[in-house]
Amino acid sequence: MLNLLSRPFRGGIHPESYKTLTNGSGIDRFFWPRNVFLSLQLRNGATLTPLVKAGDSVTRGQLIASGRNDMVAPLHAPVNGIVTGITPHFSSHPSKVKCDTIIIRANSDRRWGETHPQQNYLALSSEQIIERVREAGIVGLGGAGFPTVVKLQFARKGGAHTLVINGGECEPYLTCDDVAMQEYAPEIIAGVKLLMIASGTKKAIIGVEDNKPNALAQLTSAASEDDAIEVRAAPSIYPMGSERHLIKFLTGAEVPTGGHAGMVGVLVHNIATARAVYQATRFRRPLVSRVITVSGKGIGAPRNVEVPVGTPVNEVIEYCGGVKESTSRLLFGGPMMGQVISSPYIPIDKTVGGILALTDDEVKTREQTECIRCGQCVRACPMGLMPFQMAAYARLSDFSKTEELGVNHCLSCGACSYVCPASLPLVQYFQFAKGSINANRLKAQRSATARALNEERVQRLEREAAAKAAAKAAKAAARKARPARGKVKETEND
Amino acid sequence: MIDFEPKAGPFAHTSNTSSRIMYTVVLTLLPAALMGIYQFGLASLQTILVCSVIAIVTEYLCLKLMGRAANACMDGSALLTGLLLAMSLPATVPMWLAGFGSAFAIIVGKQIYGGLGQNLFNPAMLARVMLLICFPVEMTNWAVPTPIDFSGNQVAVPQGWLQFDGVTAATPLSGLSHEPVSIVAQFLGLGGGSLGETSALLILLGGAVLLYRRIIHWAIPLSFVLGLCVPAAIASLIAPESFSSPLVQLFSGGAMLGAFYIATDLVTSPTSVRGQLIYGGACGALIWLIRSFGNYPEGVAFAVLIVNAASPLIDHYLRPSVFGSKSMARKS
Amino acid sequence: MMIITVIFFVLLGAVLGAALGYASSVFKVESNPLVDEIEALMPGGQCGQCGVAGCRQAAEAMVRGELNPNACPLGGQSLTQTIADLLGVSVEMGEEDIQWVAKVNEADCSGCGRCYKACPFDAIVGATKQMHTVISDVCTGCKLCTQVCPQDCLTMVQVEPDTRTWFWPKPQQAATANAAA
Repeated sequence: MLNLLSRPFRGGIHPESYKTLTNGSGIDRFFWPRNVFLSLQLRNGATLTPLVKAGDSVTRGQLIASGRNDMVAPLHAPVNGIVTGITPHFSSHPSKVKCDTIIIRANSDRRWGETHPQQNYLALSSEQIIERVREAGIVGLGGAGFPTVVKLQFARKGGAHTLVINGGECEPYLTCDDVAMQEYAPEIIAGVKLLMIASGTKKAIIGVEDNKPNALAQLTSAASEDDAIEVRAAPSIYPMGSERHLIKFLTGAEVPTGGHAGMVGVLVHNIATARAVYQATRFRRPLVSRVITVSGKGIGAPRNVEVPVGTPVNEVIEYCGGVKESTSRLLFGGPMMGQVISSPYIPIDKTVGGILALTDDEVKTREQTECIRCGQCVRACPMGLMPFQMAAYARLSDFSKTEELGVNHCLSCGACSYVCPASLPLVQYFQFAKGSINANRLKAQRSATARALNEERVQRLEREAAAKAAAKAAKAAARKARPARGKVKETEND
Repeated sequence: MIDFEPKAGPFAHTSNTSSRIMYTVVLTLLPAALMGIYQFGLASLQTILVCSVIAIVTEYLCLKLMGRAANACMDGSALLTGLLLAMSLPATVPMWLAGFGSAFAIIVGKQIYGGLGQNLFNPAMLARVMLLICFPVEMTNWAVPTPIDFSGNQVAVPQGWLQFDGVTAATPLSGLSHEPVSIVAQFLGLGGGSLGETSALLILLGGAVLLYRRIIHWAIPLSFVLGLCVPAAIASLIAPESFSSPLVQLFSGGAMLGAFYIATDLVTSPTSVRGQLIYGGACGALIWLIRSFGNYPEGVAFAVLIVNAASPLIDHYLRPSVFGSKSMARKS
Repeated sequence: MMIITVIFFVLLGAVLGAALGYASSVFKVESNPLVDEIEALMPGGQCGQCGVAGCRQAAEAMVRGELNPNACPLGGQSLTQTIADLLGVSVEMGEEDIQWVAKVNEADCSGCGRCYKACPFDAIVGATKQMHTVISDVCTGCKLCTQVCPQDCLTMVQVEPDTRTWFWPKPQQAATANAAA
């Protein structure tokens, strides 16, 4: 009851955290891959143009692929080595769809190609920092992978006043942000300062769940000199790391339904992103590696590892002691919102925060039964939706009704499926409904384009017919004027 | 074996299952059921057994007939329906009547709607109301509590399994204004009434366990009790000679069982907290109205069925507000 | 009393009947607005895949109830749903909504130019005696081009899902529900 009253937002759950598997030891920086695979297509479908070809040798940090605009962050070589080919390969997408991938065979040299340390980096202007962030190809490292440069520009234009740094890390198992905060607190604070300059925000609040006391202590002491930066403990409740819910807890503002953080004057970045911004600005090092948690009861030696982007899953798992017999699922990210790894050769992209090997004991897969309308999902939903009703309509493929119930506001956080006593795959119903709604929209667009093209064509044909008729009439008129000559010509033509 | 087939998450789950919920509810009901057996003798044990067994057997047959997985009959929901029905019956009902009611609850109350989770009305209450209307004599034949004497000299001995010749009397509710019953006795469960409805204390304890295990939400019991007691308090203040006090209302008849076990039935109650408050309040108020002004002395079953019918409507109109919808309304 | 009642109702019936008859002749609609509305939703390719000569005729048939709202393969589920909503009927939704597009087999193409003349959506580009190609983002899969190609080098292919269009399939239902179905 007390627990209920002190909740920072409605809904939410308290899953078993399993964080002690990895939060005790530091970051392992000794891993180095044999090959890296850099997908040229992002999860949202945008593509990159490769700037290297097979046989080229590349140095760590060299630009190797660029996007069409700021929405597509450029790619840099994460290792020194030789490009062995650009061929279709698995990407970190659940569909097993293959897309063009730059494959680099790494050599053991770990030095950076060329970096230019920047003295007095805090004196840089907003534009300069944004430019460095753009060059470095930084995307949100919390999981969504939205290009940081776009967010910064947007916040500047929108006049955001508060920078929220997300140290929630509410997913069970994951501790990569936790250990990063413990080990890199000064770098993170420096990154926060840079982000504040770049975005023009006057105040920064770092929200960290209270189950990470060491991280909180480190950040508090690192930020103690700056009055504009506040470090605050947030209650440990899933999904505290959700942008909307963290903003609500830290600032009291509620992001409007269907809206974004900018509407309440807030800009949100992840802890790891702040550090990447520091690295990019201070050393001009592009984003080519990240800290990930390799955990779960199925992993031989769970730990946090710094891995170059593009490393395939099997190499990382091998490094961390391999998987045990009892493993039933490999996942990217946490168990709540993570994705099934559908092949061990899938590479890690910039947005992956962890690799989990879960045993049956942890997954607790059970036969699904009928919904008993117990309402647990309704009380667990942090967005105030009615999951069981949405799932019932999605099951009937009644998407207009599902949409009306607010399926598009669903975060896919999985709190409903977690509590469901009937083990219904609620989240998959919502993913299915969202996908179908989107597909129908695309189809409707295609239809509309077709219709417009058809109308244009009909008009064009009419114009052509009219022009032909006019030409014929003109010809006839000309023939009338000079009958003799015209007649000769016509016979000739025949 | 690693499963590489894509599946949407989450890959973590509580160990809670529907079946575990059902059996927990059954377990928390047992003290009150035992109290009934103690009070009314072995005949009540007989009623409980007949209702439970018939419910499970009927469920099994229905599932078989519909070509569904028949082992679902052991998921605890049928057992719970049977037990709840038994607890709301007079201890001395003939066995054929208990069995018929139980089968009716499963077939008409649950399976014809499509089985578990699909029914509109509480099956046990539907069966109870049917029995009350069709067999009014048998259903109002209240046994006077004659506790089992453990020395072996029982006062009311069932004479054979099918004929029970208990001493009968009016339930406290039907004689409310004539002979005041001690509230303490009612609270403890020493008064008369239906088999499992007598001891408010034991039901309250069971309900507390359910609340603690988060199987039921506090909204329905709270609003139910308020809905019943507030009008009762007002009426008894104005005209104490014709209306009974709120405590009598609360601790007599099926009110406590209704508040914690029947109105809170997961399938037939609304899911949002606001909806549950309205649902529980309406249920309590209706019980008071039926008891005070209706033809039947007890109104729990009728009131529950009426609010059950309103439950889908409540769920439709009282959805929880979507996160951020308030600030959106402010913006525009 | 009895007579008054009878007279009253007879009169009432007569007056109302006359009013209705008058209204039906005064407010008569020449063309059913529903037909226009549905026709406006259709792709307008006059491809005839629904089994009716053209889109207008198809809309008329749907309003008359002779043609199922899901008859237009080009519009897909979204069109079916919109039409079904307009007509106030419920329609069984297929699970799969496959997008077909035409594809030119370049080796066989003679550049005759018949296909791009046949395409109602200008989705085929090319010049006479040169190879043609299909703009697959615009092609609706109406198959009209395959009927006119003398080389039979136009085939219909399914659009393979990529990371943009792939989405989660509907979950398998519970074992109990499956057995019942």
